Amino acid sequence: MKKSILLSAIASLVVTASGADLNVQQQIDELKKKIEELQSNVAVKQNAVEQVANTTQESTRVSELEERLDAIETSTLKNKIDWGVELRTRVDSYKRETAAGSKSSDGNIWSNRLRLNMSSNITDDMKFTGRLAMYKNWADNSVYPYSGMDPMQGRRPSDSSISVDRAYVDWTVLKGDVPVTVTIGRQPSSDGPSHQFKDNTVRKSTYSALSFDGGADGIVTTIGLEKLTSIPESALRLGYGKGYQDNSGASYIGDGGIKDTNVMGAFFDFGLGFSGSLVQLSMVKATDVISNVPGDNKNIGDVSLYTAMVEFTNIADTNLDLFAHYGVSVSKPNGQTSAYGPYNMGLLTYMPGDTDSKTGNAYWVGGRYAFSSEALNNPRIGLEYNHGNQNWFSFTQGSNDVTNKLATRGDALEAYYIQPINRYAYLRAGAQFIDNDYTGSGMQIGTPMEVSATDLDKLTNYYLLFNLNY
Amino acid sequence: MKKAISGFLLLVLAISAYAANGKDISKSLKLDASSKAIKQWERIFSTPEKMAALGIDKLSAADKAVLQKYLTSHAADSDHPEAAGL
Repeated sequence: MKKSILLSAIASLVVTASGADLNVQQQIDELKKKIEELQSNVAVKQNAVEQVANTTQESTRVSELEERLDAIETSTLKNKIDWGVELRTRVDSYKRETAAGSKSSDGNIWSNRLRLNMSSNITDDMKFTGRLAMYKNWADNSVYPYSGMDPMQGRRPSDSSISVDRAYVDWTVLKGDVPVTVTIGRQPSSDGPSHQFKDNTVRKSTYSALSFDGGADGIVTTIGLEKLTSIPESALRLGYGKGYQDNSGASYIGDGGIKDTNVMGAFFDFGLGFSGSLVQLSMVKATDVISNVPGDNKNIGDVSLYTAMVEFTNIADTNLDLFAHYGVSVSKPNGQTSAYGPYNMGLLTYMPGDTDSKTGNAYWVGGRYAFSSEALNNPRIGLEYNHGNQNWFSFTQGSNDVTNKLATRGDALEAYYIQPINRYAYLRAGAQFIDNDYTGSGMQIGTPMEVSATDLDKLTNYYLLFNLNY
Repeated sequence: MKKAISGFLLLVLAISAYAANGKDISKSLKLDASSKAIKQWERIFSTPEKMAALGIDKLSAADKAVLQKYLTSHAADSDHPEAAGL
């Protein structure tokens, strides 16, 4: 009996002990579970805290960047004009020969030309463009003798003062399919097509340089016709300006006696449907042109110019550029002449009372080729030729170079080599050969006569220049 | 003389009709050359990811070169053409 009671007690103890073990294990498992949950919650919270911290940091960084951008934007908005600089230093070697064979030369003439280019986008429909220029011979600060002639301001070596070469606002008055832009001020009327090839730049003027080159004040209205006519890049320009204005600083109402020279022109530009092509047909009429003879200035007649030009830039990526210009000038004297020493100076005449029209013509052709040589920065060579007949007259008094070769009543040939130094600077070496057949090239007064005796017959110029445009 | 000029013009037109045009490629990709400076365009053309983002990577090498030339020569800080109303 005792034995059975003992066994029963032991069995009971074993059963009880194993039941207690089970409870403890359950509790441990539950505790583990809770710990894991807590750990998970802590990790989630830590992540959330880190994210909040990161977001706060990023937000702070964005705020800092915004502040910096605001500062840059403010600075940009305050810098109302973008400036560019052009500097040219050149040396010329001239040789002259008269019709009688007398020769003279100056082989070492150096000059500096500085241009400060300005541009500003004022609003979406209005922008400003300007250029200040200084052009002088080395070691010479004399004022250019014809400095009173407006087209030449900043375009002939003079003293070191700054001239305004161009300053105009393009104002798009009408947008839409036929946009209309009015250009007001001192116009982009110099160094025009196709001088950009020789100058290693892009188009810099409205007009063919065969007929017009120089500073000019006026108003030009440009009517975009591309959508209306489907002719690529077509635009009609109508211009009004003055070649002379009779205004006296003293009286404000003019000196009287001399009429203003009014200039009106129409220019039709269009492309041929591929990149780099430009065709321009134009007509310009200047009424009451003045003789500009000191002491006896008079209106001497009207001049009309008709010009056609075509140019191709980088034809089909062949690195070849070609251009051709043709111009006709019709000079109609009014019979008036100005006394200049023993001469009576009328519009292309010496005869008082002469009212016969004098028709001249000229052409200018040329090309440029760029060699594909990365090692040499793709150097270029160019060749230009122009010819003008006896009565050729154009408005190129403020011409691209001092020789005004496109006004030649005869022949002019120019060859050049351009050696780019980098994207912004280049060297150009060239030679000009001008052979005058008639006198007075580029002048509106006096009868063009066959060159003889002491008249300038041949002019040769070898030059080397450095040009920076940045 | 007239025949020579006409022949030359036809030749130019024919060659140009087949030539790739940077302006057209730029238009098709909706790229505005004047929206960036020269150096910024150069950076894009030297970074495959940036080219891919603008769709330039799909162009042939020749078209890419033509496009780069167009974009850099018409960039915001490039030498701009000047004429009334341009």
